[in-house]
Amino acid sequence: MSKVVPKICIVDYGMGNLGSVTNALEHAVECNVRISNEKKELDSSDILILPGVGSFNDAVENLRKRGLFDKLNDEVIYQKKPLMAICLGMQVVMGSSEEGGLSQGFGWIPGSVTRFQAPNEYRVPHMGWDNIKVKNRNDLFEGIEQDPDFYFVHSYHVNCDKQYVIASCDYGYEFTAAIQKDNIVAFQFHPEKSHKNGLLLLTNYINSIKGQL
Amino acid sequence: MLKNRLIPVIIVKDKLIVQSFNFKRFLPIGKIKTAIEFFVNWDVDEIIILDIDATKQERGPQLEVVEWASRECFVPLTVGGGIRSIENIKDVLRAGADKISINSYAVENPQFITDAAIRFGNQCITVSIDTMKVSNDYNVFIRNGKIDTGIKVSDWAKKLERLGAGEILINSIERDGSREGYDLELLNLISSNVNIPVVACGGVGDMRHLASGITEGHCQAVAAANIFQHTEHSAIAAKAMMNKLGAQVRLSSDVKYENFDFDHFGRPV
Repeated sequence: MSKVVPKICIVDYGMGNLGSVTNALEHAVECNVRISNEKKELDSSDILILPGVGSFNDAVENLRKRGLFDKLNDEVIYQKKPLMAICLGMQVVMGSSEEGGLSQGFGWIPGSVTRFQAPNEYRVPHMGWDNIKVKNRNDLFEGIEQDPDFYFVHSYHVNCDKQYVIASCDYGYEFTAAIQKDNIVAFQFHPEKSHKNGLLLLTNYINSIKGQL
Repeated sequence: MLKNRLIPVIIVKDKLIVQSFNFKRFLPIGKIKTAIEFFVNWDVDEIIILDIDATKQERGPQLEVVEWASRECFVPLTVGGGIRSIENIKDVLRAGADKISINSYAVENPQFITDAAIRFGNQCITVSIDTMKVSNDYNVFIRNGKIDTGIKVSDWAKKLERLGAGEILINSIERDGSREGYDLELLNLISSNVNIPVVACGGVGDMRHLASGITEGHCQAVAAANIFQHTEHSAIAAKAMMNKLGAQVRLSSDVKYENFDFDHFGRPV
């Protein structure tokens, strides 16, 4: 393993539990974490993290207002910079969401975001620890137990082609819990709040990128 | 399968954890950071910190407390006390919280719940209700249980869901610190009236009470404060008991839950 200390930028677009993500990353692996909305910070980072709790419309609007929408597009699509998106961050990676009227996201991975349509006994938001099914046991899930529990808190979920799905979860029906395409990986659950499993997942992710730096 | 959550509530007064008895007497018992480190390693599913001085002292949340409390907290952290603006929520989330809890201010300004839910998503907004029976009906109380609003608790719970609350933390003032167990009638009243998750609180004096909040009170999560401050490995013992009594809990692979036995008071031995 190289001795590179990766520079990570948590993209601050006014949404989300930014402090939590920083704490978990710094605990998980030796890294240099910044919370920023400055384009030059995004430029100089090795890894971008798009966190988020909140609503889809506000997220996209905030990204646009700060000039980050086009900047991220450039970094992720043209520069191919590694990006990890969490929860609402995962949702804005998609083409569109029905939350708050039909809104447009980045469209980096084709698909949509819809509200849970589970039977009545399933309360929404889907809130708490739930076990995921890993579809594709790649390096990301190295050392993590079978059917691991992760912390979820969301009312909407992603729908996309199964070629991108790396993990799913069941809440009245099966829905997408994690996706991956090229330099993009995204989780519906919160690794930063999923104790040992989450910290290990973050460590695995950063280490997999470190190898490429 | 979605697990039932076990949530210790850390009640903070003057930056120390206190035990609360009927919202009237408070006993200081220790440091917040130490408690959080233990809880996280004992596999609790979330932690709630409630600053009970904030509203009374008319000040905002203590961000430095949130900052150092969240440092080693790798499970969701809900922070309540003194939150009265969108700016407060933003600050608390930036300091390391994942969700916020509102109580008195939700009653005083219901529109704030909607505004906050639109801005941060409803999953981020927990509304905490303190209630007590007044002539056969449960009324909503605010300001640490001092003011009876006259609002019926079931009406308030339904309204909260419409306003955009993501979760309700229901606390019985009479059971607070009583060790008599949850008020199951109250829990059923709330859980049957809303479709958002409900967290039971108030009265746990025995690890067996926790599971009853789920199996009989039909809540999605169970919270308690005082009991977790008494015993070593309290949260692990609590989960072992919940598991035994039929709740679905997240069990860590590192702990042998079946090794826990309980005496007739429901204490781990």
